[in-house]
Amino acid sequence: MSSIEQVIADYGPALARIAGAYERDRGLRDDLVQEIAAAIWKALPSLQDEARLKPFVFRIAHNRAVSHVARQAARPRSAELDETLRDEAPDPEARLVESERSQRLVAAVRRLSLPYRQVITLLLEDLSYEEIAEALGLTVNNVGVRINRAKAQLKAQLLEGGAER
Amino acid sequence: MSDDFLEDLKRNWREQDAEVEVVASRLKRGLMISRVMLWLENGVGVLGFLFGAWAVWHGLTHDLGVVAIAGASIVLTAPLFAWMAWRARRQDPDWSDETPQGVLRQMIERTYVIEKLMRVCRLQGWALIGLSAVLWAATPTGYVDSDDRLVLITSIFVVSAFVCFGWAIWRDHQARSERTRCKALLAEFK
Repeated sequence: MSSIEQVIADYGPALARIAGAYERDRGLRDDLVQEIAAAIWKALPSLQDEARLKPFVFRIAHNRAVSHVARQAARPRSAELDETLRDEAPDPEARLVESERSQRLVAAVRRLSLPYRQVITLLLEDLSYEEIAEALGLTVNNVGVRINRAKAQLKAQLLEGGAER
Repeated sequence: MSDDFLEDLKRNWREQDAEVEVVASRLKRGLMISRVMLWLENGVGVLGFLFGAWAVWHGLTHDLGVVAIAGASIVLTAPLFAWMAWRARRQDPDWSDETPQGVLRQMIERTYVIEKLMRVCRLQGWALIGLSAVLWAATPTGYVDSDDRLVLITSIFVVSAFVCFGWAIWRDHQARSERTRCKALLAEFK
């Protein structure tokens, strides 16, 4: 059975990227990663099949992120202004989004609706269609349809050169 | 849609790689804090109950009515708050065994539970105000002395009650906003 420390070592950066697809503010994003890790820690004993660890971890990550989106929408977002100010004077310490293209991609992913955002982030983390279906409780066909639509929307957005909202 | 496009996306996606060690150490610290907080929460609940029980005993044996009543209120409220915390934790969605839509539905249910808990919180506030009134009403009987201690304790009760009311109003508002947002997100899945 994997320990939480092992899960963090293996999936920590991926969890941070997933969190980034849901939360623009860096402080809140760090909080979200912590919440995801705590949820994984509590749920790990219920994992029956070690081979299913990857979809298990990403399912928890997305579920926790969805709840974060719902909760944060109910709270004032003064922190976002702080981040805008930080963007004008980039803080090199622990900055997750480094390149312009990467930033544009993350911004485009954030603009996708939740069903498309979820499948595309899992695809970008190299999960197979079967693993994505397992993580999100969908059929493989449904995953395929959503991925095609998500990719089309992403391509359109990136071609437009859409800047972050 | 070519695979080149997807490979390009993956490459750009990975460019935002976080430092593994920074992420890992921050997460480990966070988990340690979670463990400590859980122990603290339980510990404070037990200590509160024991302190309240001691205050009741001390008040009764030393003929200090105010101390006994204050202790009794702590004995009654400590398990109530422990139950509320347990109930709130029990209502946490099952993150590993749910779909995102299921999580949103559970969150909507949870907002209704929060509203019920806030009703308990308001009752708690009224109970504190009522207790203060009873204490002052008992002063003419001589069982409770009208002194600085009574002023201090009843002031704390009344201030706590208004804090309860304020918190309940704020949390109710949050629960309603959260429910609206959950419903909007659920609609995205349709």
